[in-house]
Amino acid sequence: MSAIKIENVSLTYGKGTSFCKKALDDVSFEIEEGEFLGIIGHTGSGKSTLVQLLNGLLRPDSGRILLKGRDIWEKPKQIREVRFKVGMVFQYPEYQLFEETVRKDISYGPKNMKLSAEEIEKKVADAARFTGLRPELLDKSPFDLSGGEKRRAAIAGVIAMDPDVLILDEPAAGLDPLGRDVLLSQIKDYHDTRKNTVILVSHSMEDIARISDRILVMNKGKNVMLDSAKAVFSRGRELETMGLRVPQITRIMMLLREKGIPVDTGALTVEQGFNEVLGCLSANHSAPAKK
Amino acid sequence: MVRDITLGQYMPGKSLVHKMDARAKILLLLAIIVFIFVAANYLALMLITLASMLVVLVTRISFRLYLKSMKVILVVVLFTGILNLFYGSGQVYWEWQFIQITEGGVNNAIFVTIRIATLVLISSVLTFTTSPTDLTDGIERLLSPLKLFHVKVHELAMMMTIALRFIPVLLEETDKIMNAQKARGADMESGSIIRRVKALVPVLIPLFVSSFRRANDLAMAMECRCYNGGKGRTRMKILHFTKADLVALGFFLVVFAGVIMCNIYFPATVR
Repeated sequence: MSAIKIENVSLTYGKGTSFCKKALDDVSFEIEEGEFLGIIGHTGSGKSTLVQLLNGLLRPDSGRILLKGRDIWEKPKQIREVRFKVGMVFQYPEYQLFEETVRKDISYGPKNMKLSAEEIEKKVADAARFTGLRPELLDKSPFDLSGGEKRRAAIAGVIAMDPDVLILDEPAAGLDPLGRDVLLSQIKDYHDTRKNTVILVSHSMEDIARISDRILVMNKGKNVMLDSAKAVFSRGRELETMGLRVPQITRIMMLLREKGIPVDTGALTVEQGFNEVLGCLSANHSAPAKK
Repeated sequence: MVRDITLGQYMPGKSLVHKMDARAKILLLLAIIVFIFVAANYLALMLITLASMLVVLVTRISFRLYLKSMKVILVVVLFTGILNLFYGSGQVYWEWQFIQITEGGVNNAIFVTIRIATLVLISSVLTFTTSPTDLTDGIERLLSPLKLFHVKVHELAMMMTIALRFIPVLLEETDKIMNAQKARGADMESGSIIRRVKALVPVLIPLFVSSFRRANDLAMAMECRCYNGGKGRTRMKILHFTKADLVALGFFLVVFAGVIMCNIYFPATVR
């Protein structure tokens, strides 16, 4: 069964005013249980709106959002339950920290779920481990942490609710390259361990390509592609018309192909690209030798 | 949503009112407010209210926006209106124990309601048609005589500019933080008042923290550009009185004279 099913969802901001803007236009797709989905799109393509719909922060004008087969707006009063099941990490989540200690801040979500003290403690410890927060940091004030640590603490605050679906909106924005890599591999580890559904929104094609099972491409409020990373990036030209850039290595492959070298343009990592080129070269070398 | 607040939002335009000098607009606004309260009978009040409505029409800003800014203070208007209903003397219309509605009370209620509504309407004209920079610039210039008494007029005006400039930023930030905390199960829509106030803490603290951070960044940026207060500071845009100001001034002088005449020649309805 699909984890989340979106049926003909449309949403318009500022209806009836001069700022009226159609953010989502008849979007339908399914997210599989346990899948790692990447969402890419140009600024204003509706991807942030889309993810806020998934956990009930926004309500669609029309269409339905089914979480494990149930409409999340079936009982509007119980929308909080949906938010516990669909955890959402916003952009720059470190700005939401407010408690005296990191531990208290991470337990804010679980506390709202009315869990027992032991359960909360266990969830906090788990979340801290997944995000690589050292135990001694837990009793510090969140405002004394470094930027990267704050980010981890905030993400831990959502992971601690143990959601079935975890949504991360640009989790690595503004981090240094090393911090980026570490954070993303931690998210990947989390996904591999918990086997739950993770949705990652990002601008960085490299990151998305590396860790997602499938990629959803948004453009002007519509979902234009939903396929494996390889299939999506092999349509590089189309992506470029939407103002999106394919990963560097895919671009090189595309250029090589245009020059008449028969490489596969679906290469996503430098290693794959390297092997692809190597394969072509050896094929080329062996071909004339046979003549 | 927090973003829907229109009170005090600049709407760019090219109307006669937009072209007026900020100083003239501020002074005229003050005078109009005084005369709204000077008007003591229905005729005088109608005159000043109609004149204000005319100004609203001249701004060519959709009346819906004005209504929206009135909506914010609707509760205050109704509250004072109803309160005034029971306060007054004269012929008694309705009575229940010690509460009574009298002719004077009804007049009071109508007057207070129209006065506040007109007040908000004409004040909205100022904020809708004047950019925040022009507005504070105007205030600074009008207050500049106070410099003689060592009042830091420029600094005050600068603080106001900055405060106005950051209102939309803070509203947006509030929205974001509220969403983030709601995503963590914050419940801001139900429960007793005390619980709701408590639920605001997770929003207010991050908001404070980020305001201080912004203030710090801004101070740093200003210092980097050698800002050192008002002394010797020149302006990019210098305010000029124009023909539009003369027209407005002339029009309102006539209106004010009319209000005074009405007050003199007709009996006062309210004290």
